[in-house]
Amino acid sequence: MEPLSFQRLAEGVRDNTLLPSLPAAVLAAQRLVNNPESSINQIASLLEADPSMTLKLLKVANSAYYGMRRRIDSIVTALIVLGLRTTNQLLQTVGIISAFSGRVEPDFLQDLTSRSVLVAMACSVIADVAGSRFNGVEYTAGLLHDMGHAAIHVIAPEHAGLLKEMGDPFTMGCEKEQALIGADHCQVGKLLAEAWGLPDIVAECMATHHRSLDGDKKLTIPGLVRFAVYLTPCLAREEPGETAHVPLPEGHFASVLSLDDILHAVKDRLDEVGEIKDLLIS
Amino acid sequence: MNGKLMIVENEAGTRLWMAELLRSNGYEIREASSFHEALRLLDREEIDMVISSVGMPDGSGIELAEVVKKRRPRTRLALMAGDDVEAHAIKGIRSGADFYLTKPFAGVDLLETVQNMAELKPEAARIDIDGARPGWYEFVITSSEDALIRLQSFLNAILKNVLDEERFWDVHFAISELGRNAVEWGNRFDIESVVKLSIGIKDNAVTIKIEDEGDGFDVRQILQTLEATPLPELEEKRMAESKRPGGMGIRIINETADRLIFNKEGNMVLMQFFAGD
Ligand SMILES: [Fe+2]
Repeated sequence: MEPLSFQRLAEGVRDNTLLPSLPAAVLAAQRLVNNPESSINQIASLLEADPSMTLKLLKVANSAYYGMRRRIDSIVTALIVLGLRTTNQLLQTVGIISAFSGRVEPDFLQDLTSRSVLVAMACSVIADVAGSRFNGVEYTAGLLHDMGHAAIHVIAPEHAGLLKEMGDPFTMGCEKEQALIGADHCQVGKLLAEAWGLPDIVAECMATHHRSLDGDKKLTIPGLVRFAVYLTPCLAREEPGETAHVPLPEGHFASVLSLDDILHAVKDRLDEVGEIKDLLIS
Repeated sequence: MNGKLMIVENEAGTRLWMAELLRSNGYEIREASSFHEALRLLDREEIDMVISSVGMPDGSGIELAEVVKKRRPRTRLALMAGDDVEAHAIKGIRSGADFYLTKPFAGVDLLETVQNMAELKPEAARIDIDGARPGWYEFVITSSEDALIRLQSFLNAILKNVLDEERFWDVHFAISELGRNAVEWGNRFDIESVVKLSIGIKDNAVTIKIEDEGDGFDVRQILQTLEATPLPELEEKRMAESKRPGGMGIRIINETADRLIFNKEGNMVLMQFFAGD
């Protein structure tokens, strides 16, 4: 198999018959929710115009996590129950799932979104624990950080197939990807970010999330994503607790935080998210 | 004992009426007829409490609140303005103002606000705005009655703007009752914990969510007991047990609200009220 050349990748991400664009409806909704001037009237009206989106938000608001006893049947009540922040996160998650569904294998998409939601949630929880506010960009960055994987699947399915044969594509690492197919998902992610016109900071996270934590003395969004990715194996485990095996470089921003606190806080969020994610993917 | 209170109001009639009423209730009063006069007075004298109009020709009460809270955080400040601008209430909270008095108000409302100011323990009455969009506000408050009373003073301006008087009182009662439930029963007055209150106003519906950090209570059981007992009987029963008529609050809200939904844990309640017909 020919190595995946930069040219093929670049053409691939630019070819809009191949790669999905972010769904316009979701983008519009997100922009509206993010704008402090948007009224609940405008937000609800826009969402109501999209029946599948309305259905998803209602499903989540009525889910066991929120545990409402009687049915919530209007978008306004769903919005109030979910809150601004969760609504925004749900819109982004729904957006990215619907962008790739039908273009990559469902099992792969499910794996990828599970991991991505995990990292995104971890980013927003860690930012909370650290007392930093990035206005939700940390969630977006966490959610999209690994979308280079999806792009490889779409642009070069045969290369993606080879990676899958050689191990777990999510944990094999950029060097092995390079050796096997001549490119890695971080590179591709960066190209994808440019093609999608994502903010620079999000593109940076897509490109640098596997780099070493050495330079991350101060809390930044790319550093946060790196840290969340680094924690993923602990997060995916059933029992958190054991933190001895997550050494941090000296002076790392998280060394002043309690890893136990972080892991427990993320676990708590994931219990809710697990169910929400299932509702969204189904 | 009652402290020195400055009234900042450019409308002479209102100012004089307020001054007279408060003086006769034992407050030492200073009057300022403009934003700048208020600043000059603040420079010259130690003022314990300020009650200021929001809209004045030479500056806003919101700006004054920012100045006062920056220079002397211990000074209590209440804003007064009409109910026509929802944004005033939100800006008021952000400015650090302690209370909001919706114009026009009666003497009793003024006295109550001033008394609330005098008794306020600000460290136990924090209000944070978690999210704000026109018609959609998310507040996080300290678990205390002070914080609830503070927040309600601002919410009143928003609610009066969309509801007629009867409906306003229904909603006001519901927030007081279930807000206090969250503070008392949910969080057991633990000021380390918070109550989250969200409000949505769309078309003619007001939707309110109140959530505490407690273990919740068995709502179904309460509602069943309540529904099985007629109100007057219930009142007697509670009195006989010398309990405060707490359960009655939910019962009344169950009748006035168009929707009342609890989550399974019983620590989150969602109410919806439609304005008029
Ligand atoms: Fe990755």
